[in-house]
Amino acid sequence: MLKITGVGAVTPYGVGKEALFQGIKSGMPPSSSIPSLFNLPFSDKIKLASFDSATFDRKASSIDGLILKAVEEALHNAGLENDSLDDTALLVGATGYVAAAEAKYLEEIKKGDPRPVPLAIAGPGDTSAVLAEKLALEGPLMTVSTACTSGANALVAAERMIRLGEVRRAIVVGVELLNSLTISGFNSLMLLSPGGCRPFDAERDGIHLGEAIGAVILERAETGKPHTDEGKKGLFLCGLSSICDTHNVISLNPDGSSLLRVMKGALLAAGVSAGEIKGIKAHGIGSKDNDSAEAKAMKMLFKGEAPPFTSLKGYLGHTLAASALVETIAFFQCVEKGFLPAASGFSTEDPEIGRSPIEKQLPSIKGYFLLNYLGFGGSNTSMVLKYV
Amino acid sequence: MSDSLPVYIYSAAALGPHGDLSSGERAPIRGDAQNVDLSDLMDRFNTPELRRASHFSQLSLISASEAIRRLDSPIDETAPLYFSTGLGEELGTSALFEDVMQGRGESSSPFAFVNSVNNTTAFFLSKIAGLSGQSLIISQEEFSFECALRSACGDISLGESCHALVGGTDEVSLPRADHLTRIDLREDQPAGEGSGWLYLGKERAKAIGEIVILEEFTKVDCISSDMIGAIIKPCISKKEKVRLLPGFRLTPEEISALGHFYPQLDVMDYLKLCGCFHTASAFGLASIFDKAEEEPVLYFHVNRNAYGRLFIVGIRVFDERPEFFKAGRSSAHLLPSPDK
Repeated sequence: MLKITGVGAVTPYGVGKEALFQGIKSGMPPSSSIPSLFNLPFSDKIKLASFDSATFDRKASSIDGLILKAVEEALHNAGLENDSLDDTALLVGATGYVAAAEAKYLEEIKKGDPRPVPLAIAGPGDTSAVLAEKLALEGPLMTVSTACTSGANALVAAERMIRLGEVRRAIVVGVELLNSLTISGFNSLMLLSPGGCRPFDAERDGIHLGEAIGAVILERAETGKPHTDEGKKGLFLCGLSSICDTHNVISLNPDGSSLLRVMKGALLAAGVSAGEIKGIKAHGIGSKDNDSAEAKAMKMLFKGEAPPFTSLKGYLGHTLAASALVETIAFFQCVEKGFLPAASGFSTEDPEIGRSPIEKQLPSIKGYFLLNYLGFGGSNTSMVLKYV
Repeated sequence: MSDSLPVYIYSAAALGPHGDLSSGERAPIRGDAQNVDLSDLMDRFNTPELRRASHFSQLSLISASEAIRRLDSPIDETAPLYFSTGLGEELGTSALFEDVMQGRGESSSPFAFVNSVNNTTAFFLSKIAGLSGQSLIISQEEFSFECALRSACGDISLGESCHALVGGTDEVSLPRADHLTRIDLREDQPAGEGSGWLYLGKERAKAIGEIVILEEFTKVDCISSDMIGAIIKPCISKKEKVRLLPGFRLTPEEISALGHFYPQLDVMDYLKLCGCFHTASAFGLASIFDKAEEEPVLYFHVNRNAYGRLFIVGIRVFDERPEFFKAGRSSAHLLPSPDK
């Protein structure tokens, strides 16, 4: 079994896991505005959860600096800040760094270039190589780019690298920076909600996008430096499953069957029955079809005995490639501090779904939790984690 | 990684910048690749959704489907897909980027956005291949394909899957000056494009080759023939030829120096057929199966990156292979389409 021995985050709530926890605990989404550098003719019709644009310029060096902050917090948290990382892999889940290309493009226009080169940046893999240099890390590097499940699939790949004995530990990072291209793309698909994400709500009308960076340190349970007294306590990654559902390129199979398959796969990999699950961090994106399909899948898996479930997208927005890392960190920060977070944005039960997510914080108990992450291109990932 | 090897190869196919799928169709590239029209080769697919497939998706789909066509038995539907790319969907994304930055984002087509996501190509690859397992898109600059291969071999070794479809694709975006803001090439290196695919598994039966080396090294200041020899020599068996496939980051001096560690070493400059791109190694390592050979051949591909890392892949091509791998021509007209 593998243990998450350290976490770090940068979110619109601020830098650090504590800022993230306090934000979720407050029950309120972060206050953020649409950065002025975004060229969006429809900006008055959407909501975003963004970093403070007064202090963050989206240049490549600034992005590297923010990722490093999250990684350094995770290393510190794991007690590894002064250790050699020669036996450590770095896996980054990222959709690409279009934000940096946009910042560069605007800078060239400002300098007087009438036609700057579009998308003038290296591929997504370059960032992990830069980070590895800064961290003096000598293990394997890998950038996973499976849209909204990038971070989740980076965790899947890291878990296997460690299990295979290729490395002692892995730093797994999820990165998503808002950019005009992605926002325009989601707008063209008519997926953006003007008021923000209302997961599983009867009146849900789409998603709002967010940006975040999350980092975790994953180690073999027996080799990880314990961050609790005995080392037997903490957060353990018990099982993961990932599949490609070829029903539709942008939405989940509406009958819930593909998500059911991946959730069952995660339970099987963890050696846990559905009845042992104490709570679910649903994908809960706030779109009509996806929430409906996810609810159906949960109903089929738990056969009427479903544990409490929540979604964190009402707080953070959909942070795409970063969502798996940052939502897992946020969820277990709350579990560790004694509660299951409410699904912000939810108010009215959807009769078609017939169940409500957590409406007010619930006291949490230790045990197994199921977390779902779904993405474009039919990429579905579920994972079972245990908090002891 | 050596504990996980060998992993066997059952099929391979590579598509080059001329729309070439076999050794008989290949030709040296003159200047940069030119995004050749692939619509004739796309005729094999009956899937209506593919009518809007981008050039990047077309390169991937044609090459992967050719690898599947060449399989001796039906593909394992549970096989995961490991798809590597250095820059991904570059042409479409650049055009969309410009639209959005010029304030025309509100009117851009949703298809343009969906096509700009690399996952879309992986989705269609899974769909045409009938795969329902994991699909992983890996992007690690010049080591993208090598990383995908390492993941696939690791997962097969762990028993996570019995088989895997592994490939790599990149496309060129012209003009060259724009393209060079995304990939650093020397003046004498043509910008290339293409795609290469391998179908892998753990059983020796029906294999056409085997992966014997997958090693990454850090802090390599200088590539010496002694260093490479120490890695390769233990894998060389008697009565086999040894060929070096130099990656596009090696300098002519480095390639020349590498030739000294083994007396009968041939250097195979596959880059002259496909040009330079991040996943050129996928094309190079898949295309070695097209050559007619009377005895086993050990190929090893060596490349490095700008951060002092070096990656070596060693593949042994068996002499016993189905005829169409040796025929020097594409099997495109011999076998039924996978979606029929």
